[in-house]
Amino acid sequence: MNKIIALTLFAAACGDNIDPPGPPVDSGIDAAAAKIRAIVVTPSNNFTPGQPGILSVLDLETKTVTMGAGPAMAVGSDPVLRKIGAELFIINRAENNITILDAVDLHLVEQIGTGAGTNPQDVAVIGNKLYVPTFGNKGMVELTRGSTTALEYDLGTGDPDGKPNCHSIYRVNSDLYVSCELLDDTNVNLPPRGMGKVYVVDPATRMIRKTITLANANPFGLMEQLPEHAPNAGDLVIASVNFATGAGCVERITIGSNAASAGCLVTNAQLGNFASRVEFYAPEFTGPVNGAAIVIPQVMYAVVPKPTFDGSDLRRWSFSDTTLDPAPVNGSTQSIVDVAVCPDGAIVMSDAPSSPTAGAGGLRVYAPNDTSAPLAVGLKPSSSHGLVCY
Amino acid sequence: MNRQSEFSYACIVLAVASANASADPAPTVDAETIVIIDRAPDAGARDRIRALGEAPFVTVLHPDDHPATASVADALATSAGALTRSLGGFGAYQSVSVRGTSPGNTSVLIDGVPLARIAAVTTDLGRFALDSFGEVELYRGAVPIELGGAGVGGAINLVTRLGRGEHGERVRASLGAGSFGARHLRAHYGDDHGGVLSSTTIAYAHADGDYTYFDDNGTLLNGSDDTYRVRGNNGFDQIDGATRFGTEDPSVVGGARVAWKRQGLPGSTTRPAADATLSTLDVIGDGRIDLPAGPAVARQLAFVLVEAQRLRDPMAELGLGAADRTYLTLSGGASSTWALPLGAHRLGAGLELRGDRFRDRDLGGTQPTQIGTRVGGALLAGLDLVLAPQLVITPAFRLDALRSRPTPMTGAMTIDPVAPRWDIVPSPRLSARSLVTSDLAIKASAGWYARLPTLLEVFGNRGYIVGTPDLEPERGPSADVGAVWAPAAAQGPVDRILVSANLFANRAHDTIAIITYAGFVARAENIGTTQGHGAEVVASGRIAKTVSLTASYTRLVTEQISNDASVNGKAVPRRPGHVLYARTDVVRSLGGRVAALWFDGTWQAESALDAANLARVPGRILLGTGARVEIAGGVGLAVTVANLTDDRVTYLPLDPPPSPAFTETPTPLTDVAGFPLPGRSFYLSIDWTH
Repeated sequence: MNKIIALTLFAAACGDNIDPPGPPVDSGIDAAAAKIRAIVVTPSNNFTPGQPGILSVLDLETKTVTMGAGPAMAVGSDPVLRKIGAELFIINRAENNITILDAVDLHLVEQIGTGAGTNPQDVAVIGNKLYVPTFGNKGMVELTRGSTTALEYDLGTGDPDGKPNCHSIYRVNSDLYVSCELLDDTNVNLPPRGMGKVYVVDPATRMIRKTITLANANPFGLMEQLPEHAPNAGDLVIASVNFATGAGCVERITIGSNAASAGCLVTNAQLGNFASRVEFYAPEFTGPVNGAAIVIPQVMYAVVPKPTFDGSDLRRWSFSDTTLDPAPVNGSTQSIVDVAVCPDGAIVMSDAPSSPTAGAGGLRVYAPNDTSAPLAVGLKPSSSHGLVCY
Repeated sequence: MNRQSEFSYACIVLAVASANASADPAPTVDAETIVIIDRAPDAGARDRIRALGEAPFVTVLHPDDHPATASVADALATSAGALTRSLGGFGAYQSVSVRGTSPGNTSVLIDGVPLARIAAVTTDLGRFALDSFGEVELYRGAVPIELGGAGVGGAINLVTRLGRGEHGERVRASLGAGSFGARHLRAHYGDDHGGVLSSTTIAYAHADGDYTYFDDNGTLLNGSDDTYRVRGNNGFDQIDGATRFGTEDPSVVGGARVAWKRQGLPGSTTRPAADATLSTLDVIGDGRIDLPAGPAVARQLAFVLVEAQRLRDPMAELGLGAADRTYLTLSGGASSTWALPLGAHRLGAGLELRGDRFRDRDLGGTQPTQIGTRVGGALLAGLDLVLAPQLVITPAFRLDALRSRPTPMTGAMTIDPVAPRWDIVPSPRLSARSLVTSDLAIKASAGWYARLPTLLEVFGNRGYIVGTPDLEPERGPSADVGAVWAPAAAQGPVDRILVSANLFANRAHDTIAIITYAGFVARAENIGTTQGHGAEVVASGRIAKTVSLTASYTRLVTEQISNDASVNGKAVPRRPGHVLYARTDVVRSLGGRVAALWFDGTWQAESALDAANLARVPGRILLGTGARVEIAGGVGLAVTVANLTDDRVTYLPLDPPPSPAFTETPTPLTDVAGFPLPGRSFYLSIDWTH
């Protein structure tokens, strides 16, 4: 049964004291060549509010980094990055805005505010609408490109404090899947009120089509979609953790009319802590080559903080035998906080040393040519979802 | 002599007469002079003797040089070497950075009693009304050892003036009102009761803080949503009272000070808070007595401090989850310092004992109460060596030993026990002063200072902040050298001349910062080193006994030293390379009544917005003006205009720019990102002295 979502329309007052963005300047990025590259956005130093992060570009062929490639002030102090279509969406969680860049030449397309105190977490796009789950208000705002108006969706009816702590969103066909942590905001420890929820919202009617109760509390990560050739391709996964107990897992959610929780791919107990980021590599199996069966394993990569939170590892989990590699992908001296899989199968990792005296870290490329040292990107790449490769 | 808690009384300051002292009847700096506050209207600059006679570069600020509503931080902002940062408006939180160091490296004392630093090292100097004190001393470099184990950022001592005012007045009262709901009422009584001096002050202040500010809606790259909004939940109410008594000599001094303040916590513009409040009650009591012990003088001092705070954030607007917490800090201490003349020299030595207890209680019951204690003591010694009639060198040493301990946790919240820790902090200091002529002194000082980590930094909060038991104190050297020229006699049409110029350098090792890690966990870490050097110039004088000019200039070069290449070698954020404060006063008698008109301005050069110096904060100039006229019977009427040009917007340069035509973007005028400063404001006050 569809549930009506209370909607609130709010708009920022308009001013005219600056000119709208004009044509882009040269970002230093070769737009013509279709090179594989990784884009990383970093938080500001120590996530200090009001200070900018940086956007840098890694050319995987030359292993060179262009620092500060995007326009100034495109990246805030605590950014999240998504690539949707031909655009990059930077969710500036502390600054309450979504910055849209062209994915090819990185010119500024638009920057849209989500409103003071909203604390945006993620974004999904349908047409000229942006849907942004928010941690600071009733759950989600709908933005319109080229406009300053924002429509607030009330997803907090299941949370007595009115703030459902919605953290992630994923568009599946014409539906929006919005995950909410349902934390008790009256308690300074923010304990979860129960199992997490995923609301399936129909943006056309602006109604909740379905509510999915997850098997775990506090769906803490960003939702990702299982890629085309992976088992259960198209389903969503999300990581969860109850910080009081450590319980949680990487949970699968089926999509469509029977959308529901479908259990865990791997548990936090198996991982040794929770997954702060997941990514997939699932190439299509093309059959025997020269008479020999070439099997490229389909895997999920999970970034897992150390139990002591003084570092983080990249773990690899196999779809075929549902086992976790016993050792991390990364070296023991590395602290991997983010990961992206490139079209050629290369794995790009953000190495952000936990010790402040260990330097700023940078990007590492795992296979085919390991980088022997992190490639500096201008600031410590500490964002847990600030890396894409295409 | 009305300066309190002066170890210098016994062992620091020796002023030496010049061999060719001027015949001018103006006060000269004599040998064995105990430096006092001097108001010498026609015989040199205010505090002339002190400027020449003390080894440290100390700035003395007086309430009557500032608007009626000025806070201690407002006054410090006019000083060379000091940079204040405000969260916005009358009564708002203000911190002070001295010579580019972090605010936590500057210790704050009230009448010589160091405020507790067990729970926080940064003091809100916006909550102290300047007029509640007789003067404020800013020790920019060298800090007398009896003023505690200061950091590399020097020390600020707020001093109560005993007895009558500089012009013999016993009663001072003022009331006023101004923009954004600001108003105050203050009364002061100070007198001489037959050898016993007194000072009693009671005051009330209030502001709504509802000024308009420029709001970029968090979208620096989108001007279409820019607007002006009204700052909310930014008001405060404050009541404070103080009474103090002392003998004229002043061998016995004691008093108490109580202040209560309730303020709204408006949050940042990106995360505003409508319902968060903070209430603070401060109580300070101290007393001291000087007792003769043979040729020595033994000063016995004792004090108690209480700070009780209640933070309410019912809507979880400030942090993670709603909060209703109380913080209670109790401190007590005593010291015995001895001064012994050794011919022309003086030896001083002392022992200090101190205990602090901090309690953080969650009234919602969701977290266990945390308690921490710090007890310890310090040995101090200093020797004034009069090497020549005009040369005094003072080596001094201070050794602090402190034991910090958290409360053992029991029950469900039990975690790995954290052992108590000892900090042994040596603090050697050396100062020298040479009175080249009766009007010219050359000074130099060097010292090694430290600031201990707080309980939160060491032991965490059993929540999202994890303790770092092996955290090192921030520590490092500070040094300066310079000269003061303060002629007693007029130089042509110019009198009240004071020129002070000096170079300085400091270096704070093991800078402490709270670092965020995966899973929103944070912990304090020693992140590296910051260093700074520069110059300070102060010049003032009066022309034709009518126009006074004052200027304070600071040249500051800061640098971060870190293994993190993104910040290594970069300037410390929000530390402008040049800061200039200038003021002119015109005072004339009109129809038998004194009328004064003044203008001032502060220029800050461009600075880095962030630690990586990726963005810049443009330079700015803020202007002010005011006037005061005596009406009759000791009654005066004053008006003050702050931020005369109503600057509320600054333009951040965009590099690289989004487009060739889009090279800068408007943003609110701030000291701290997200906390806009008010625009033009007016204040009208009436005062009465008797």
